[in-house]
Amino acid sequence: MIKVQKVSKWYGLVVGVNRISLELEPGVTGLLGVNGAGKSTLLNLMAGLLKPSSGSVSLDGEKIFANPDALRKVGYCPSPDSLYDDLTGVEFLIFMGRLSGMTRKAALEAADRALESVAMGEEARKRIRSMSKGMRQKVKMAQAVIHDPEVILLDEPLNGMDPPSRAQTIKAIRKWGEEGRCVLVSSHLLHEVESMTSRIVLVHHGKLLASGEVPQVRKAISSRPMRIFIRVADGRRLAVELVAWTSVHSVSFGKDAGSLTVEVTDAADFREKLTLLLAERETGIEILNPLDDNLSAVFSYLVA
Amino acid sequence: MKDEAMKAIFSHTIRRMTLSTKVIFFALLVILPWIMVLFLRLLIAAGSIKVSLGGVTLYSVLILTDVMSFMVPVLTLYFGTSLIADDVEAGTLPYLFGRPVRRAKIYLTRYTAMVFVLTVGTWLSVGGSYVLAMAGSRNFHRELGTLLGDLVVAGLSVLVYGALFSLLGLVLRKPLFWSFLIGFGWENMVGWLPGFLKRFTLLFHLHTLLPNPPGPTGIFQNMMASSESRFAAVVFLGVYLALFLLTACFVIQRREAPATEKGGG
Repeated sequence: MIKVQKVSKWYGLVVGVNRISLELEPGVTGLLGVNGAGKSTLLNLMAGLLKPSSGSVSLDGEKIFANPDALRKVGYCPSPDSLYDDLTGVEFLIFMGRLSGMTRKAALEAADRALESVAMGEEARKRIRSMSKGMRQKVKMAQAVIHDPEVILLDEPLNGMDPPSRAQTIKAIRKWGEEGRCVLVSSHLLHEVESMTSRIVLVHHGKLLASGEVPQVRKAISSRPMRIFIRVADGRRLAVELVAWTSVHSVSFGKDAGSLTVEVTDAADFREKLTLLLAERETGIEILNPLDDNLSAVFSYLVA
Repeated sequence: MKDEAMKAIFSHTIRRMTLSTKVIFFALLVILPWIMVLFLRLLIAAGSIKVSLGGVTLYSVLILTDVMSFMVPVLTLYFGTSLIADDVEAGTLPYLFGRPVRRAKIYLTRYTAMVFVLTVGTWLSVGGSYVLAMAGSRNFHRELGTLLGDLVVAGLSVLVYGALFSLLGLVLRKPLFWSFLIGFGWENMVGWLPGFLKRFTLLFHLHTLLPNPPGPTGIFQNMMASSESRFAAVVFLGVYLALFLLTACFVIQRREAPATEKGGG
């Protein structure tokens, strides 16, 4: 599988990525970060287009940079809207297929399959120049999978797509992940990533801030108590009990006495005690909802 | 060509050269010598040119001054510097370099396709100039050997100039400026200087190989007159060609091709 080991990339004095290590597992992984965080640099390194200043990027033990044997297993959809505009979508895909060693006939068949996987039909016979942004995105994605790669790297693949196309593309990405391919999708739009996967890699200022499943990552952020919303019939009574627990940092009331927001420092201990409490007596809890056990909260805590 | 990737790159390069607006510029340069021949023949016929200028001389002067010193350098400069630079500018290089093809193979196939197209154009230009200059002359068939030699040298000049400018297009940030300086400054000025220095120009060696250069009638022709053997010229050109191509392969293998845009993450 694809392995990034202590990779740094400098552009003169500017650091693109800084000592990043990660291993991509089968399935979909979201690559998150604000603009300029180093997402594209990391993807370019993994696609064999950039040479690491230090460290290494390898696929099944082989260095990726300018290595045809490794590149055979990688499909990359770049973020910039640059394509061979004078070709039709199908011609472009056939060209890419042939560059991957397929005959013209095999490339045509593979192009049809790739286009089908991104839900693109007859529009692909148009010149790329005359395609909408969304269609061009789909062509870029189709070229990334035309040679049936094990690793698929997608840089902001949903940019410029309309809602139906987004939904189709998300479905396609999830399917590739379910097929056992390693799919890394970069985005700065959290809801997009959330709709594809719960596994994330978060980069900021060129550094790897966190990686793993979102709830695990959230748990690891010990500096920020987890916030849990509770709607209960008798808020005051429950609040008195909760503040006595060592795992509870604070309890605050909402608009009415039945709405509580609890800040928890040890989620496991809190869960255990709450379970015991629920077993002991009728608490009247109507809603129990973690407020920041999601990607958006994780992202803001780590990046802010 | 058995390799499918090479076939795809070859045909794509030819398509790019011939099915774009660049072809207009290409065609203009190809027909320029024809226009010049016709124009000079008109002036000769009208008696505006006093010196005796036969068909062979007219043709040979044009081959040296227009085709070898102008057309071939300009065409190879224009297409050679953009051989890979066009993809860099258009942001399409990641599609080529991200595929399982050796980069040297990409470069050499593109270079071969360019040489093929430019050689065809140059041969059309040389052949057309010969026909127009020699039409009606009793020497038309007698000078066919000269034409053949010129075609070989024209092809060779596309080969070496193409390699030079495609290398400059790979290694320089502003390849057009520096290529003009080398193609028309160094090549045309140093090529005329006496001494050993002119051996570092391509034009000098190509001139040596021309079968029928214009007679050494003036000071410039005397200075340009070659003192080296044709064998030495071929060796020099072969060494230059190998040097340019090997350097280009070395450079492209190490070249990075990130897909980035301003403000991107």
